[in-house]
Amino acid sequence: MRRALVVAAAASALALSGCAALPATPGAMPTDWVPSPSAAPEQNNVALSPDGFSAAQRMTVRVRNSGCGAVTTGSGFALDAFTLVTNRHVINDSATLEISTHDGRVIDVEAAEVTTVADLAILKTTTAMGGAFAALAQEDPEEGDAITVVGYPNGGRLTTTTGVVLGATTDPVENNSGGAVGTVLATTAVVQPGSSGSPVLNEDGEVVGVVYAKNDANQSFIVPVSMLNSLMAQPKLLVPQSSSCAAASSGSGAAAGVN
Amino acid sequence: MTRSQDATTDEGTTPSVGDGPMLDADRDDEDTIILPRRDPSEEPTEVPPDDDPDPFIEDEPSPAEDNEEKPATASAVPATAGLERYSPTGPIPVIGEANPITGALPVIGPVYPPKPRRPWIIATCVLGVALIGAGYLGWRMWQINEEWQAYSDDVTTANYDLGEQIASVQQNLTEKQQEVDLLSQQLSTSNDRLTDVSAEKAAALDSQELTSQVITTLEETLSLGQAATATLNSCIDGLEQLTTYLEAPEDEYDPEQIAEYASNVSDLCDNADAATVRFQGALTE
Repeated sequence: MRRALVVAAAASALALSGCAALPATPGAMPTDWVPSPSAAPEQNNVALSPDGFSAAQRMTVRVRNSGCGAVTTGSGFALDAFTLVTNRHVINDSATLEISTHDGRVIDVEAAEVTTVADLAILKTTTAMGGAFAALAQEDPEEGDAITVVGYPNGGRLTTTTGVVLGATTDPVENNSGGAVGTVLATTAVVQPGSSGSPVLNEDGEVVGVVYAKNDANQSFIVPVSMLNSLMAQPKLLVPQSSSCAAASSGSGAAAGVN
Repeated sequence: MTRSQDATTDEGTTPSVGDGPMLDADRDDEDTIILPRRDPSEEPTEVPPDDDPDPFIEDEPSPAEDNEEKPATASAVPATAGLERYSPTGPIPVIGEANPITGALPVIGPVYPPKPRRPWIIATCVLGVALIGAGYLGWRMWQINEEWQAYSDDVTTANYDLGEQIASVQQNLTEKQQEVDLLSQQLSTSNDRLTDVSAEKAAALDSQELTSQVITTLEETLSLGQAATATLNSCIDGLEQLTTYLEAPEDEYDPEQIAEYASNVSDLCDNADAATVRFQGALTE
């Protein structure tokens, strides 16, 4: 009998303990079902383009060398609105220099500076080039790195080619008018005459070199960006280039400047 | 169970199996009811039904009962037999001879112990409280269920609204994506066309510049030709005049002057030859 009472009391207590397990009443209905964003969208201005062209395409220009009874073309890339980089042999023997942007604008070059330590030249324009500007890498590319070359081969349309770095080598251009350029880099990117001065970009879109020559095996040679950085850090290495039709001494032989 | 302690007679004597022989001597033959002698071995040994009104209350043997039954069952019942239900097995032991009982059949009525009522009251109260609590719980759960049902209806309605909005947005997104794809394709085509046009413009400018240089060169060549022609004409005119001077009478012109003129004409012709060479050289470039 007592056992039955204890069981009944326990059952009652268990039943009453259900009060504590009663489900809660629903809260108020939310008025806004749209969740707030957890993170702000990334501002990736590099990927954005005002005209559909990439930054590499917008910073690459076509250089026209008019003078001395001939018209030659090369490529270059903008460092800022009024400054661009190309090869020295592109502007040799020039009466006038003009550049054409990716969208067809033609801008006159008012001054040119060259150096004897590398096949590089710095040009100043009369008006702003617009478009994008190059970001120079701090280190040279290593063997096996993928590269992209943007330029105007054969003076034609804007073209993008890819390749890999083969490694460092000596300057293959014989009778280089500018003298020794020290160690250069060989790549597998296919270039043509007119690609001289084209920017060589790494996978991050940084300029790691400047195309200046090719050989019969379709290997291209680039001036490493470390040389360009040294040149920009030491303006004394640059000398003005006069607009005159001096005797041309472009490279020739196994490897030649691609102008 | 046989409650031997509850069986009383009218005379207040307590019948006992062991008392049989002693009662037989005092019985009158006329009042004697002769009970048939039963053979214990022929009777069933089933356990008589329990007349206990309260099966949950264990029987408590009285001290008198214990004293009376101990001599008869001392060898068969253990000391704790009083706390357990007596379940005899085997033949009922009979001590002495059974004698007929005379007189009126004794009426034996059950005598129950007083029932404890407090547990029932407590149980009733507890169950009543439990019933009230269960009722409250049911009512409260019904209320909460109603609220949740209303909430579920509201959520369902809101879900349908959101579903319509999502469908609309998805349709709009699909249309926009198609427009973006179309515009991207158009932009790509425009960029290709712009690149081609830019290249054509650059090539045209190259050609223009080259043509300009050719024109300049031709103009220079033409100038050289004109100069050569002019000097040649002067040479020819001088030679013709020199011929006239030489064909005239000897005393008409001073021979020294004729010789000087001939020298000048020779210079003119030399210049004409040089101009002609330059012109020819320009033509061959």
